[in-house]
Amino acid sequence: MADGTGFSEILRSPLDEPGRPGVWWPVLAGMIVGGLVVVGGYTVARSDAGAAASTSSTATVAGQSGATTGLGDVPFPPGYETVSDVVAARPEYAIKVGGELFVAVATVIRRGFDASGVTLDGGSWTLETGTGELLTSTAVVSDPLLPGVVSVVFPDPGDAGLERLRLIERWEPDGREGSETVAVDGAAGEWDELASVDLGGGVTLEVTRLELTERGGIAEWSLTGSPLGGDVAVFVTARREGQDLGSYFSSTGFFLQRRVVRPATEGVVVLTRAEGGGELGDVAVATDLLVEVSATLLTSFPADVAFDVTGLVVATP
Amino acid sequence: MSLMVRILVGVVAGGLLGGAGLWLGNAAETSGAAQLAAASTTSAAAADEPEWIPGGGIRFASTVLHPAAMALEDGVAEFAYELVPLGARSGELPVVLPEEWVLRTRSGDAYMAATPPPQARSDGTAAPVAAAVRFTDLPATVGRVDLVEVAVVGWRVAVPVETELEMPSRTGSSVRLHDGTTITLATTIEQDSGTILDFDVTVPPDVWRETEQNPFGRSNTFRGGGPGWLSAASTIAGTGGGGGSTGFQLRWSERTVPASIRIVYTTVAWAPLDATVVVGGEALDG
Repeated sequence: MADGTGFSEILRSPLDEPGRPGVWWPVLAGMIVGGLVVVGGYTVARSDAGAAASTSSTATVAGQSGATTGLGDVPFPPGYETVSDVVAARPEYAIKVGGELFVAVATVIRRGFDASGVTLDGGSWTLETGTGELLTSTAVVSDPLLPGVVSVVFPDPGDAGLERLRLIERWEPDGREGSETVAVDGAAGEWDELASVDLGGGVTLEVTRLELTERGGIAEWSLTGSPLGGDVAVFVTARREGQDLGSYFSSTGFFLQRRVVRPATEGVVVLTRAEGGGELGDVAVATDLLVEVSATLLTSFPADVAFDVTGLVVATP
Repeated sequence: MSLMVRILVGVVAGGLLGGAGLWLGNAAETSGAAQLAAASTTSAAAADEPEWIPGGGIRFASTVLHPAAMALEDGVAEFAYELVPLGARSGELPVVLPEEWVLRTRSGDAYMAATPPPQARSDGTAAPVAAAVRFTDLPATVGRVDLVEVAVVGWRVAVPVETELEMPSRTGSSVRLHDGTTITLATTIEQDSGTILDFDVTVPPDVWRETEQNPFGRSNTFRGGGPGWLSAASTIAGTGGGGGSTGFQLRWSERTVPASIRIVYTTVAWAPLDATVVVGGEALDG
């Protein structure tokens, strides 16, 4: 029979011998295991993060059509206040010009979105001054080449200082077009209740009065079915028995003017006689008028976004 | 040391080594430019806003600056960079731009430089702005390892502005606008279809005004205020940014022009803003 010493000898690993090479094999094995655990854990975590990013991206693209679910999990950068799921804003600067205060507000659109229709080109804002006075915005000015900033315009608050800027209503544009041909006696030169153009969605634009002369004219319009209203461009082509005699157009549309003021449900546009539109006076022999209208309707979205502007730089050029 | 202790030591050491390897691997993925950005000490770290600043970069307000390269030759240090807006509109240009810069060396010397409005790319395939700032008159003893920090100390902020002015319709009448621009009614020409009014425009010598090839300031327009005007708007022709004269034309609908006329001026004021943002740090010597 083997004695105890012999049994211990069997159990003893050669690596346990003091001074023998390889005595740290448990350490090496542990290092391998530890390394695999770290790398494996990292890989799993990274794949989870990728999946989360993919989910976020999918939700973002889906939001292009107006869906908003799942967009709140990626916050806007620090310093920005969320205006909608798509837009955030931050006041950057203010300058006083010509009795008005222009507060420049930078806007950020979430990646993956088409920015059209989700900007801050229009809206209603208030500004609380250091003396507690509450000013209401008179316009929003933008530049088509720099869509990342708009200026909100207020009356000059003087030396009152600025406290809080607040967006209380956000407007989004909705372009509509329509046309109608109307039989007329061109010699009249002016017509009441001339045309009623269906713009779709229950919105109707009526040309309530039209005056045409050799050089130009005016068109009075009225919108129904659009509570907030908008702005309207009018194009008129005078015809005689199917032949164009001359055309007239209103000079600018709402957003072309870049200064967005309070929208309206009725208004007047000045018409310009297009160059090369036939001999002067042709309108007098017109038998029908093609009335084409282009309307930028505004939809209002309630908002309550406040910005602390106590530290905003206010310059006077 | 017992077997279990040795195994535990191994696991801990292996974990540390694995973690270090992963860290080094990630670091190797970052570009040299990102390393410059990471060296920033006062600006927002890219890691804080990865969704908004992909690929690293340094954010100030709504503009992200990506350091691109640093070169030193013949006493001139050139720091190249790209600018992108924080938002994601297609073709969008940044609305906050760097203007005044400082380069600091290891010995504590500071070299100032200024950059004009950058040219904007229009193809939409890359960052909308790629530019460089040049620091001149560095001593020959200054090497790359001595360049320790680049900072922007002055910025320009875009502020859209629209004002309406009133002026006499008498030929030769002038009016000065808020930004130093002067308009003068040069001639009036009566026609059967109305009256043409030609205006001269004098722009002060300011590179942050308008330059012919620079989209950042190209959209200055004049138009008639109120009813009676025929033409929609006139844009100032290029002035080269160094000041000079140009003009615009409006058309009144009648042969007789009122004694006083209203004109609307729309522009972008690039307002100066002092703020120090380090955009390149210790990694400049790399």
